Amino acid sequence: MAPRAPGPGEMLTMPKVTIDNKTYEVAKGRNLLEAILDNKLELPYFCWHPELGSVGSCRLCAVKQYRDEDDQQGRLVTSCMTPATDGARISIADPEAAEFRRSVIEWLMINHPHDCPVCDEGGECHLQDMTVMTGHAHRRYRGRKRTFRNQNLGPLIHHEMNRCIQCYRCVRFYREYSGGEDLGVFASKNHVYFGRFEEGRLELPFAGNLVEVCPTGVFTDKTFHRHFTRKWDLQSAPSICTHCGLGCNTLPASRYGTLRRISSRYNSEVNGYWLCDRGRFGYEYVNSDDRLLAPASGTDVVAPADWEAGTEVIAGRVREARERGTLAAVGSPRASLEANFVLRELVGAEHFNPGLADEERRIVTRFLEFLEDSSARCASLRDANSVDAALVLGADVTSEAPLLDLALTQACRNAGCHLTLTGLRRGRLSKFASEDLYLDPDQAARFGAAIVATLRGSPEPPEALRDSLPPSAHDRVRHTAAALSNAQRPLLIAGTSARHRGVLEAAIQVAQALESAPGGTKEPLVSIALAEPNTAGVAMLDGGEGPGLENLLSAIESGKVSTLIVCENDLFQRSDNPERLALALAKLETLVVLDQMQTPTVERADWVLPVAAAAESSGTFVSSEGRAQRFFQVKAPVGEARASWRVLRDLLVESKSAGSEGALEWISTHHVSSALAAAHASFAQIVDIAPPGDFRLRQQRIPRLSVRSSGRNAMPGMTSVRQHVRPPEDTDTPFAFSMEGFQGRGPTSLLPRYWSPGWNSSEAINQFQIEVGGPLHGGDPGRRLIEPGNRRSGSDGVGLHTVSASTVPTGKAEPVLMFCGLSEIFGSEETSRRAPAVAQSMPPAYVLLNPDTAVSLGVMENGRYELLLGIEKEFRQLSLTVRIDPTLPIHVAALPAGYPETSWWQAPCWATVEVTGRREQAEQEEAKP
Amino acid sequence: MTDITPVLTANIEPGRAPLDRAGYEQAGGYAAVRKALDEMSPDQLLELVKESNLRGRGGAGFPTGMKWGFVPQGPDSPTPKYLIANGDEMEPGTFKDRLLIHGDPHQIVEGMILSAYAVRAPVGYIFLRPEYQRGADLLRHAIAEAEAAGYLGKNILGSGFDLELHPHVSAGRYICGEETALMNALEGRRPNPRSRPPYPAISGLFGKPTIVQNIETLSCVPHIVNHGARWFRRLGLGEDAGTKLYCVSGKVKRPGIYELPIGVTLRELVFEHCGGMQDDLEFKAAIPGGAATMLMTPEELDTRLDFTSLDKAGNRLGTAGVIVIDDRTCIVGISLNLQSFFARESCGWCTPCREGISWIVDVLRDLEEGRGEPGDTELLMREMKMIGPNAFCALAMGAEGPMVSALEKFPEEFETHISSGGCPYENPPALPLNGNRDQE
Repeated sequence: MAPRAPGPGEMLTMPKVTIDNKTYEVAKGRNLLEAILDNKLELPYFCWHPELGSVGSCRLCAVKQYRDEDDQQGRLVTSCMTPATDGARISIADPEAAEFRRSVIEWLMINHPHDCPVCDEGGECHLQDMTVMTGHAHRRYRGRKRTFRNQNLGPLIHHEMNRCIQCYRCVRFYREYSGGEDLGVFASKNHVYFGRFEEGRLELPFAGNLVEVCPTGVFTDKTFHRHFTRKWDLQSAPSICTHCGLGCNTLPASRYGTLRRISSRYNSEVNGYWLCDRGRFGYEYVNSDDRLLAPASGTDVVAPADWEAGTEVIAGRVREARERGTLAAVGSPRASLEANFVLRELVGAEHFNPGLADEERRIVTRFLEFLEDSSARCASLRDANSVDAALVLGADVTSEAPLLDLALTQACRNAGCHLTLTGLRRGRLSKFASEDLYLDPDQAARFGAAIVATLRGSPEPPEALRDSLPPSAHDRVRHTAAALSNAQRPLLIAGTSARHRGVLEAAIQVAQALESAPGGTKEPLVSIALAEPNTAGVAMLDGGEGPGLENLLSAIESGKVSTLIVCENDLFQRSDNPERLALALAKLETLVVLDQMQTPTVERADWVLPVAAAAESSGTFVSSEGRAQRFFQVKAPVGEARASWRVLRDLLVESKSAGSEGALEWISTHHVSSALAAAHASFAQIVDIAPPGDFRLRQQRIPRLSVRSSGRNAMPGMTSVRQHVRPPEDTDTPFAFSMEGFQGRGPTSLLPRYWSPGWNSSEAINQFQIEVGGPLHGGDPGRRLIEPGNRRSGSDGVGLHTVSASTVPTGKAEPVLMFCGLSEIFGSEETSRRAPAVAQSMPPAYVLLNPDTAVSLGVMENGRYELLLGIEKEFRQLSLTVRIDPTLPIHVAALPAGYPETSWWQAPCWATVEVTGRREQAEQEEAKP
Repeated sequence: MTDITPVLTANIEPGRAPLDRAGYEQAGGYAAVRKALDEMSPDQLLELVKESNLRGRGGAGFPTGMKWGFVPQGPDSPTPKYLIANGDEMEPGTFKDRLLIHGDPHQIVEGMILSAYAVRAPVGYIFLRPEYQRGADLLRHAIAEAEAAGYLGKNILGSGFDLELHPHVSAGRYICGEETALMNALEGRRPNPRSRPPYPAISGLFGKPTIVQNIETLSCVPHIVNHGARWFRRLGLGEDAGTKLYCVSGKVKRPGIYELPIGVTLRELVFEHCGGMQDDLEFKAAIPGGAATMLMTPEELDTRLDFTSLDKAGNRLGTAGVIVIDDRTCIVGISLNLQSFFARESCGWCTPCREGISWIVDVLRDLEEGRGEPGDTELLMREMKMIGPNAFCALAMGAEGPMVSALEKFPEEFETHISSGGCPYENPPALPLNGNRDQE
């Protein structure tokens, strides 16, 4: 992947290259184009990309190379295909080279439609930039242009083939880099066509990167197209993706109060250049009609509710409940550390639940405990790019932590990674896997335990393990154990969406066995797939201390809790018993819910307080890597929504809680971060992630808008064009809602866009990297809060944790199946599925069965059935579409995790199944293509 | 008139089916295999081919023995190594491999056995253009016969050397004749050329050391083994060695294939062997080696048609597919025909070739159809010189040769097209199919 910055020793032996009679030092192993760009010299290029490498197809980066000082003639070489060897002499400015580069653009322009005014890429087009850079301006071709027919590539990507300049970047990213199969090159000569065999949605869950990889407007963002704005009119600030726990860096952009798009923000340690499609296209929930716009009271008589009156009333209730000892709160893995911290201060640690489902919370807490005492390193995405062996237990990496899939793809392509998968069924990564097993989470845990036994020297796994694994697994145990123990950089990945502690325990034990083996791996890599942006942060804050959801429900039922504050959380997503939850919530005297959108929890609230989405507020998330990262407000919140931490601070101050005096001083996010850092040693570093809100450069703020923006009075132009419209105040960040301010380059953590003179497209990132494709000048933003300890963890035993809560029901006539959850990249995440493009991409609620199981149940693929599930002593009626997968184990039925229809599913369980009906009509509708 | 006993075509008689194994053996076939496998080590065979000065007949004229010497050998070298016979033969005006494939398949099999032995390749592929389907059948039959006789398969003639041969009929593209594109095609990929280094002899088919030789080159090897390197060197009239199959097309009296000592002059070939130009026609020019070489004028009639002499003249022997152009044929039309071919056959990988040659075609069509403008000849010259040397592979360089030489040697024809508003000739040549079947 990305090259590391050269170490001090390497500097001494750096090759020297003479470029236009000036000598430059370059890193070893670079090609001439990289050497030129590393030194911030300008040379146009198309087909080369730091991650996709050199192929020499566009020929644009030609320079003159001379044999030695006496060679005056020289010859044109393609710089990306020529190594930068010590003593190389080249010229960029040579007239013949410059003329050739102009010619390349002229050739490409023969067929390019020159439709920049109606092209979404216009203004951030690498082709435009390169055309200007080469100086081609006069058209001599007088023939007709070739035209292509475009394809409908689904709801995410727009296709406009006439603009294509055949750099082959799209297929190199899609096929070679990512392993996608449904985008290809067709035809030849000047009719080369990049598209699908037939129209249809692109299958690769990273297809959105084509928008940035394509140097012109062939692949553009279809969601952006519906509310298009030129790049120079976009208002943006650095942010963090909110649709899983990986913490990919993003650049959301807005105009006229709506969020318009997400682009990837480069971070060499985290997401590099990429984003997954959920991260890129899930943003539109922020613009949703379901957004809560004003504080509202369901049952109280204070009406119309407003912030001041509401805060006063709620603060009164809070104070009263606190005095009675009946106050509790639920935080959220999708809220900032700051909001969770203030909420916890408001109710006290012993009454604060972090807002994770109980099993998920136990898994995450256990993982964090393990990291504390282990020499294992919590892997960054960049680490995962170059591992030489990886074992995935109980996770569907592709949908739970999508960019981890892309990183493992690179490890398999480049580092010969021995990848072992133990998912429920065949998935996207399967074709890269050395061992691909289809196991239920219990079996996956046993498989892990068998590997532990093998690593600890037992020649054969214990009989109990052997018997419970399919025979095909035995060889795979040995192969995987051998691969892991021979690896320099083994990586163990556990999922959380399986909701199974056993797989995590198995992964931990494998790590421990690797560390403690004689001559074992010093620092095995571990990773956990977390579902939400701040799951790790809220679990660290909670430390497993507060009450569980189950305890909380009991406390409500028994009247020990009368007032509950829920911050950015839909409890129905976390509970395995929605009926019981609904009854409990109804029993509360006061339910206060802070959230962005209508949810079943919001429906039951006495007080609904609208709060800002991540793109509308600032704060800190901790990613699954343990990396604390700051996100900054991009746009003003919708309606009267406010940042959660502010709402909670006001309640804290108003309710005069003990220790609330300090909260009076919390004016900016940074004050809260500092208070948190002071209160919890593990968060001490979060103040250093980014400069505080009062940070200024030459006494100026950093503008969120580019200097080319259409003018300050135009910003609220959809409502008013009066003079002297003041941009909103911002105490939280050093950014201004304006194009005015500091025009230079601020710190890396405060880059609101990538632009450099002559570089208007996303390729401008080259100008911000120390070496192209490497770390950013000033370091990549974010701080890792958890580094490996130096002691090796103990535990020599082989423990086994399997589904214990529910056992196989016996004595029933109906078939018994283990119901497991499947994470869906489009659909399982709560906020992104409110974005229309993601909603269109999500499969309807289903039950996935092995074909034999379907036969024995008498159900047909794509049919919609009424199913009655018997789980222990309870029954649950479901209406689901049947889907079939021959790779799914015969005893497993899989449900999409996190769907509203299946939100009760919180852990694997055995259940009897009875088919009670069939919906003919629905079936016909869905049968339509 | 130079006369020789035919060597490569000795067993070929028009209208008669190729010799079967028995017939081929009777005519002295497979003696070379027996001799080499009995008496020679692979290295000795390689030395013999080096000494013979055999140069590749596919167009580039690279010394065959030298190429074989690049293949890494020894216990630690990568295995398996591959031998590929290049029978793609899509070069315009070239039909010599067709004759050898259809006329004497056993000669090719024997040449491949010897060549594979020299480079220690246990697997060989014969890559054929799609039109040579019958040739593929003949080769399959010959391979089966050779296998039955123990010339192919495991432990050939008790030597411990194994070889299997597989004919492969391509989907058909000129670029497949480029050896790295050919290997991509054989691997089931798009036939885009690969960048060099690594050279195929080091890392070729499936990433293994690979030798790609033209059919005619391989056919020479048995004769070198039978008669010796010195004999082969002395066959040539000039500095090059062996005989050469010259394919002659155009309006000569007797077009066709002539096996002659390499190094005959263009004059002897056209005016003696082919009987001169057809009645009432004058020799205006010739392209010596398929589409990708430079035009030769009447002043160059005494140039020897061999690698060395044509290199010295700034030209190339290419495939020795001599296309003779008479005085009633338009040079601009010829150029348009040739450039349309190159534009159609561009694989579309690199910009200069993909876009540039199509533009050249466009300008030439304008000239032919009366839309030429002053400055067009300069444009053609400038663009072609920019495209040729700076493309990814040699295809564009192939297009540059005939175009630039036409502009240099017949500038008046281009100027006339511009000044007289179109083509002054009555019969402009037919153009190759566009190749865009969806558009036609």
